[in-house]
Amino acid sequence: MKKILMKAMMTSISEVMETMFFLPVEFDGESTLSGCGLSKEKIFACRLGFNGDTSGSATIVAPKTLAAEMAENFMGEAKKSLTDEHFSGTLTELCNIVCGNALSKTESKIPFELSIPELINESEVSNEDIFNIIETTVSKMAFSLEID
Amino acid sequence: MSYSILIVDDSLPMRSVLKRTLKAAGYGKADLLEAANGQEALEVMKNAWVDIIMTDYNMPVMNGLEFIKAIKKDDVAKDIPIVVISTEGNESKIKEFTDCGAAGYITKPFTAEAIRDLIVNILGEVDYEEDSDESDDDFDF
Repeated sequence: MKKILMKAMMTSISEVMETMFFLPVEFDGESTLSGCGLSKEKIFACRLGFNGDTSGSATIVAPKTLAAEMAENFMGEAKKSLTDEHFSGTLTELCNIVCGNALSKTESKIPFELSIPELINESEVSNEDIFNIIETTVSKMAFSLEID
Repeated sequence: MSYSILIVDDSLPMRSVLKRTLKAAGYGKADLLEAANGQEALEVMKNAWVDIIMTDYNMPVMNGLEFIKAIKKDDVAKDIPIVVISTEGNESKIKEFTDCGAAGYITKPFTAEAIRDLIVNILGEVDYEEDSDESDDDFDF
């Protein structure tokens, strides 16, 4: 089930990043945050839980530079007029849309219910955790899927 | 005629995108009201008339479904059309919304055209020339 969900999530990330944030992506294997250089930057991290036939959570990590670019593209407003609240809010919206789209396309006897996406502290993201690394034209971002 | 449209979404960027989309869809002169959840929306509606509500589903405090149920119990507000905008597009969820009285449903990502078509279907044709501040037909979400 994790493989099916992961494939659906990756497809959704690719579609949503390109159509809503105008940032085509390429997937670049697995790594820790420090292994791909993300731990050196100021990051935003967001987590969303889900329940259905399978329960778990999805986490997206993006550096502030990328979150700012995404917010600018998404909202159509210059970065300098936006705040950290807009940047982090854009990332939580990405997490919400990606998970909602992916899970609604995944066959499940019990319809998936999503939690409210929440920002998490950098300290809650372990440097040992393995993420799927996503390349954008601005910088890398990271995604992980945990199944309970 | 300019409408009063209430946007209910806990995401500040999404509220901003919806406002921009509505302007691009021909509702530039509409009075666009905002609330971050259903409870806040009910407070807004105590002080302002609303012609149509566009609400997210997955929100803290009071989610979209609870909000629709609260509206439908209100004798004054029960006939205000409600459009649900959500990422969750499975059939059972959509049926749940329409069974509770939602007038329409749009799945994110959406297009300005889809928003315009749905609102026109519910409220009637808008005078596009008069009511549009932006004419960006390519503006899609």
